[in-house]
Formats: sequence, C-alpha cells, structure tokens
Amino acid sequence: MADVPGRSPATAATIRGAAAPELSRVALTRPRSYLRQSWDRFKRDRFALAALAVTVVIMLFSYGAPLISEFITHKSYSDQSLLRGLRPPFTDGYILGSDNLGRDILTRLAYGGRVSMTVALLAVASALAIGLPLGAIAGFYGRWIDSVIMRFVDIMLSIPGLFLLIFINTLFQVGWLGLSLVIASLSWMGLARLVRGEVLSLKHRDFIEAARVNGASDFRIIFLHMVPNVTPIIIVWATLAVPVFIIVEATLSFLGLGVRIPTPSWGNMLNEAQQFIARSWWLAFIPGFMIYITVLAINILGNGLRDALDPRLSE
Amino acid sequence: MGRYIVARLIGMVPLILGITIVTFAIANLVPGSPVTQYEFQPGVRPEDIERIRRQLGLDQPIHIRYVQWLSHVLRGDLGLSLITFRPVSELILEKLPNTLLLTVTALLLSLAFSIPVGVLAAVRRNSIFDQIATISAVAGVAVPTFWLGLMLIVLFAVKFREWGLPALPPGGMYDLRGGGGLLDRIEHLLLPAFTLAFVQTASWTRYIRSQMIEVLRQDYIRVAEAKGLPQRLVIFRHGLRNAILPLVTLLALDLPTLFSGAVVTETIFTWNGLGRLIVDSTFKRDYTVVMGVVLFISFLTVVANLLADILYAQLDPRIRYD
Repeated sequence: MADVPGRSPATAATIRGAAAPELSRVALTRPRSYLRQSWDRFKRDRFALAALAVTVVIMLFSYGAPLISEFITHKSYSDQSLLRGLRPPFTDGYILGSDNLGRDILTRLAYGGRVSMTVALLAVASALAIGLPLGAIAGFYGRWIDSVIMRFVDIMLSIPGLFLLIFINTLFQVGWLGLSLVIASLSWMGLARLVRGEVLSLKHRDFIEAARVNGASDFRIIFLHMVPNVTPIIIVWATLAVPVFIIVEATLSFLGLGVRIPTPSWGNMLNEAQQFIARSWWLAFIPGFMIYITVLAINILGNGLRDALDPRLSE
Repeated sequence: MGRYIVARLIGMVPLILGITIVTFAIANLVPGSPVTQYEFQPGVRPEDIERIRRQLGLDQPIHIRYVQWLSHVLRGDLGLSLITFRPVSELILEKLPNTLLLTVTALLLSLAFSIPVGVLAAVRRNSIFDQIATISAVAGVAVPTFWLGLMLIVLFAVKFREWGLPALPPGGMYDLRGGGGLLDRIEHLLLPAFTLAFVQTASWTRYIRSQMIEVLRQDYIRVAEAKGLPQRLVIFRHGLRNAILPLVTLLALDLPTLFSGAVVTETIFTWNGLGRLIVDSTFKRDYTVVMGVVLFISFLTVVANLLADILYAQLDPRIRYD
C-alpha cells in the first residue's frame, strides 16, 4: 500500500530532505566517460590485468629484437657457428642454447616473435579492412546486396581455411606480407557477420533517422554514426583474432609453407627443431612455449576486454 | 521434415557451386599455364604448342573451361595426379579410412572426457573441481596442436625409452617389422589421437559446462527434483539429454577444425591419411591432388552441416522447420 495518494507527497518530501546533501555530492563528481567505466571494469579482472602485462612484455621482447641482439646476446639471428651447435641453455654464452647451426636461440626467438606478431597484426588490420565495410554494407542496404555478400560469406566459411591456405601456398610463393594478406582474405567472414548484425539493429534507431533527416550521406551514416557504435565489438574481435592468426601462421610455417627460412618465425623454428627432438628437446620446447604463452595471454586479455567493453556480451 | 530436407538440399546447390568457383578461380590465378614449360624448349615448334593448347582445351574462354571442369568434378573425376598419374579420387578414397580412424578416435576420446567433466563442473558449480576444470579449459584451448604433438613424442617416445619405461612409438600406423596386430595398432593410435583430441576437449568441456548450467536452471529440472527423483536421474535423464543436444551442431561446425588438426597431427606422427597427402603433394607441387582434397573436404563440411541440422531436428521434437 505504498502508493496511497495521500501519503506520497510526504514520502517524497522526506526523501528530498534527506537526500539533499547526497545529491549535491553526486553533482560534484564528474560523470565517468565510457572509456573510464570500461577501464574500471577491466581493472577488477586480475587475470586480464596479468594477461595485459604479459602481452606488453612479449610485444617489447619481439619488437625490441634488434636491441636484444645488440646488447644482450651480441649475436644476430643468422650468425652461425657450426662447431657450437645444439648447445643446451646457459652454456657457452647462449642464454637459451643454440640450434643445429650454432645460431643463438634467444635472438632468433625475439626476431621470430617480431615476424609472427607482425604477420598476425597485419592480418587483423587487413581482415578489418575487408570484413567491416562488407558487413556494414550488407546490413545497411539489405535486399540483394545483403544476400550476395552473405552467400559469399557462407561459401567462404564452408571451405576449411587451413586447406585453402595450403592450396594457395602450393600455387604461389608468398612472403610474410603476402601471407598476412592471404590469412586475412580467408578470415574476415566472422567479423562481417558480427558487423552486419549490429548495423541491422542500429538501422532504425532514432539517431540514425535524425542523421538521415539532416541529409547525411549513406557513407557518412555508416562510417560516422554506425561504426563508432560497433567499435567495442570490433576491438574484442580484433584482439581475439590475433592469437588465432598467430596459430595459423605458426601452423603453416611449421608445415614448411609459411614464413620461409632463413627469416625466423616461431613456427619455422619448430619445424627445424623437429629433426633434433631426440637429442635437443628444448629446441622444440622453447618456440612452442612462446606461442602458447602469447596465445593464452591474448585470449585472456580479449575475454577481459569483452567483459569490460560490453558487459552484455560476457558469458 | 521431408520438405525441409528437400529445401536444404536445394539450398546446398549454390553453396557447392560457389565452392567450386572459388577453388577454380584460385587455381586459374596462377601465372603461366601448363604449356608454359614447352615454350622455352628447343625443338618444340609454335604450332606444336598451339596443338597442345587445343588438346588441353586451353584455347577455350575461362567460363567454358569451368563448365567442362565442373562436369567432370560432379561425376567424381578430380583429374590425375601430376606425379603418379593416378586418379585423385582414388588417392583420396585410399587415405580417407586412415583419417577417419584417427578423427573418430579423437572425437570419442574428446566426448568421453568432456561430457563427464563438464557435467560434474556444472553440477558442483564454483567448487574446487569446477575451478580447476574451468582454468584448465582456458589453458588448454591455447595449446598449439603441433607443439603438443612434438612434446608428447619427446616425453612418451624419446624420454620413456631413455628411462627404460615402456615407450610409445613416435610415428607411423603400425610396426613395420611384422606388426599390425590390434594392440600394435592401438599403440600407434594413442599419441596422435590424444594430440588431435586435446584442444577440442578443452573447448567442449567449457561448452558442456555452460550448457548444463543453463539447463539445470530450467523449470522442468525443478519439477523433476520436486517430485522426488533421485539426483542421478535428474542430472542424466533430464539434464544431460537436453544439454548435449546442441553438441550435434557443434560437432558439425568443428569438423573443419578437426580436419585441419588432422593435417598437423598426421604430419607429425607420419600418419598416412588425407592430411599427409595434401602436405606431401604441396611439396611436390602436385596441385591437382591438393585441389581435389580441398574440394573433397569442403563438400564433406557442407554435407556434415546438413546432416547435423536434420539430426538436430530429429532429436529435439520442439524444433519444427516447416
């Protein structure tokens, strides 16, 4: 019986009176921006924070490869010394040991990380450049444009990516730049579906109608009004795509089809190590472990980002 | 149901045509043609080259060539291997049983592990068991298959032998020195099947756990508990049955992942299946074989998706398609 007409003014008055100092304090605190809120949510997830730290360290290690080679190991990634091959870690000045040609593993690991990371990041950027506009156009224009694009997505999704990658690699010699473009051209479909779904749900919102009434062009509406609204989803997709692409690159390089020797990548280091596992198991353990830690950290980071940027999406 | 199946079969046609167009287009993007090699050979006259081009049908425009090629593919003729000159379809059918043996074993291993663990984690939610299972699942999904395979060989084949323990064979499908018994086959199957099953198991455990938690929240579970059914019956008859239904779809969706995993696993363990066929052919530049395997696996994926949808509708009476 709280909403008896006679009692409500009194209740309201008490609330107003009691809450007055509280309210003034609320007015004094500045509204938190979306980014701030997300960061506050992200901070609470300790696993995600640790994953972020690990990711940053791996990035510094990989992109600091020339510095590591210059100041720590004093060797370049191709310096050979046939008399000092297959040394275990911490011997003869090799911090992580040497491979069959006497090349320093730590140096190669850093350079390999740079290649693996660059291929993955470039592939993400290229996949964004394909999937984002295609998904947005399909969702925005609908009708036959939508059907054509989405049927194409279905077709590409039903050809297993690794097999197509192997096929392309059989026909063409691709360098690491080409490799990232090929990976991207086979993995933009999930993103296109995501963006299409979001654009479909934004299409009839008031602010889009308002922009249209104001005479905004389709291009403007899509890229200035819709895309900013799907940014959180894109960031999460891009983060979780990095480990997938690292694995794809490593798998291809491991099969001998990706990054070609002598350029080191984590995958082709594993491939070369394969024949020596009976004698020097760490040769295979170290690059694989780097891949594992990187993939694990970025996966956890991506899940943390998803929970922080868009609480609706979390499991 | 019958009408649904027919509609889906018709829907498959553009998909399969699309797959053939993409594959054919990629193959035709390659610079040069099969006759390029003759152009710089002394003693081969231009009119000879022209004749070979005509014989191979290369003087036709590309869409005519596509239709001709497609009519062969649809009749199961995937061309001849460029190296051994054997029909590609024959090669594929020869290796397929080995790949199926490996993938099906891995699949069963995955299910045998992920279902009980996922169910127990969901029933004892937030218990220590659940936390360990969840963390291991997150940690397990990130393990690269090729690395896992190599490390298993190091441990079980190399180190175990060094330590004088019973070791497992590092590769192959059976012992070449007069082996081939059932036990020998199982010994050779263990490591590759485990490797292939590992990542799948981690992701399925997560999936079954969240699915089971969702199901245990439903009203019919509360009813079953309220009427006094023993917990075992509630969990297995009412809970699990509903929770693993979507797994049928997931199985079909994960099939490409499983085959991709098989490529890596077969390469590491020298398992004589489709995966090794495609990798070996790649290094020999035997592109008709590679193309044939790609087409075959894609068809298989499409068919598996169709079967999963039909099976799902059969298993779940709530779903009606027409």
